[in-house]
Amino acid sequence: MSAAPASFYRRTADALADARLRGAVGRVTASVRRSRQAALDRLPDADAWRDHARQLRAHTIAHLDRYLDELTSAIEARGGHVFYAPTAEDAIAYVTDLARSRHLKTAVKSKSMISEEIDLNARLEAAGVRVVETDLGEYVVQLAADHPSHIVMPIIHKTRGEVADLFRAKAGATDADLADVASMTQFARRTLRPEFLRADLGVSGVNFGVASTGTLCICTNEGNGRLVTTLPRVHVAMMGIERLVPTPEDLTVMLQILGRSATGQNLTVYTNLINGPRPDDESDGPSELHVVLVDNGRSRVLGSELAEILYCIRCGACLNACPVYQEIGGHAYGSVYPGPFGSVLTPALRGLEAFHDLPHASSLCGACRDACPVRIDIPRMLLALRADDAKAHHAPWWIAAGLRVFRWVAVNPRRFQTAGRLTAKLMHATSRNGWIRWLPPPLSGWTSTRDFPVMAVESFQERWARRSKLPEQKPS
Amino acid sequence: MTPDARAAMRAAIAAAIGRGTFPDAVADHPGAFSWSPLAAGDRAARFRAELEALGGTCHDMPEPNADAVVALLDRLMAGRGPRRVLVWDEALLPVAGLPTALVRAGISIDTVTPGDMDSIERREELASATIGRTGADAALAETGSIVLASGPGRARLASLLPPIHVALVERHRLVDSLAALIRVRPDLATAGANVVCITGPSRTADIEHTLSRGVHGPGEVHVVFVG
Repeated sequence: MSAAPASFYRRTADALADARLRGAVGRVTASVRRSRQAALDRLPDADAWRDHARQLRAHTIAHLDRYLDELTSAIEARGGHVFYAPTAEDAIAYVTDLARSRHLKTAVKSKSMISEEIDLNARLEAAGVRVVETDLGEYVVQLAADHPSHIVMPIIHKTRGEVADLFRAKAGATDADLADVASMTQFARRTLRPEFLRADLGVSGVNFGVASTGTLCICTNEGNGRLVTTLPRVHVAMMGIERLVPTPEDLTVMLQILGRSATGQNLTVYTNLINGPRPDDESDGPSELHVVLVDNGRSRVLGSELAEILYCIRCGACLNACPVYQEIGGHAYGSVYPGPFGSVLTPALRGLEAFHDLPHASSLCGACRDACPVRIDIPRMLLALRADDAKAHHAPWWIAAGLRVFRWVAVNPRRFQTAGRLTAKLMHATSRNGWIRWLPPPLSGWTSTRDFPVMAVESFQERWARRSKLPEQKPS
Repeated sequence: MTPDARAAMRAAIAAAIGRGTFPDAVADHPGAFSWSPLAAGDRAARFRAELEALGGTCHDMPEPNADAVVALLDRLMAGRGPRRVLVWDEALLPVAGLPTALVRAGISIDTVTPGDMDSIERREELASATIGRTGADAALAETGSIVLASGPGRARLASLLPPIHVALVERHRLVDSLAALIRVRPDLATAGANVVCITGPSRTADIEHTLSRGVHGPGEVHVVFVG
């Protein structure tokens, strides 16, 4: 993860001013929301599957030490290597040392958010390994020297025309290659196929590690995940330490909801299970398998009030559901993990100091919690982080001062009524046709983009008092 | 992992969770999920509907017939590339006599053998096949998927490199769902170094959320039910 850029508000303002970006993100997230709902409607007992999946995640996280130990034994029994990386640097050093000692020159990669988190590509390149992203979206991101803006749909922020321009400028595509999306896809297939055939290192992420069997489950739709884990002679699988399930049967529970929540598919096209490196009697597959268990702050989260965020299975449903994400897209968050879950995970992993704005990037409407396949209570944790932030005095002074005044007024009924009456009078004096058009700073934050409605002259309490004096009505 | 490294990992995680060494038994595992099964008669129709919705094709072959399989391959590869198929070991397929019928039709056969991965020229040759022809260990009605375990004579690349994938599956291998399959055959999850559940043709919607098939894996998937 790169450091948080200076101002979240600055980035948000830029994103909001970009009509094209808002249009693209709004359209696609709306479409994926519909697909997700349709997919869950098709699944009998969908809510019960989700409840069970949540219990499995909670159980696994509560016993993570045990399941990591089991996973390690099972992978090693199949001839794979396992490395526990306490920090991003440890993970990077392991992979770059491996590339050096095995003389690996070209790496093909399938989509892996954890490698984005630790910025693995740049470090591998610095160690002399050519890195080629092979997921179509990630390939475009790499050509553009950009960052993914969604964890499932990395180039949700790019138009077809922008991708075509990149393919022409950076990959030598002709007009015929760029005639339509299907031609562009075939162009990517032709361009990347030789890379797969020649690469000596395959780097993938992991959706789930199965503790009892050492199985790695990698879900992709394009097939690049299979090529990356089949053709190169060394396969390195990068996974967060929390991405475990106890047994193969438990894995099938998670798979019932992962694809449906992510893209509205019943299952991803290739649900790929890897059981160690190629045995002698099999004809294809890597001869070495290395699994890197990346901690990088996760164990610190385990015992905290934010531990629930480790239940996350990275489906992206909370991004698509979030009214804030829909408006600003992923880049404005300034983190590898955007959207509601990212606003909890990023401060949890990297500290609130640099990312204290993120927990405020939410209206607390709860759409993320409703969409989450494992029902993570994201709003609860956003509030906990806001409280921590307030304690650390990151809020502007006038918010704290304002709240102190409000508390002084609100704790006393007489003060509250008087203040209400005065405010209503003041509002009426300054309004036109029931609306206030202009307020002084800092309240101008509201009126710069919309009008403010005036308060009723008569308060609810006054009306109630008047009403109770009326003769009682008889029920008809 | 060295014993020391493993002990360090365990200690770090246990300390974070806030307890000592982990207990011998896992007491609070939520157990198995119970779901409503599909109605028995619906499986074949459901499989076909699901696969076709994804852009795949389902074929029925009541009697094993090598000539009919070759006629299908012949028709599929017309105008699509070299008349070459990348295959699983014939002994593993539910239709006998395929090699002879393929040779008679002038279609060349390629197989992946141990050692092929060491040569880039050989990999490129393998990638030149137009059709990959495999068997399958199971078919899943709920999702229109097929499950293939790797093993001797069961190359992963056959269902991966060519633009067209044809899988021959005995009808009795059709079950309700992945969850139902793994509950009955938990061993299948580890039956090979690779077990893949393939649900329709390779696809992407990365560019403007527009669906496009055949990006890295086969853009055409044909499932032939035998029997």
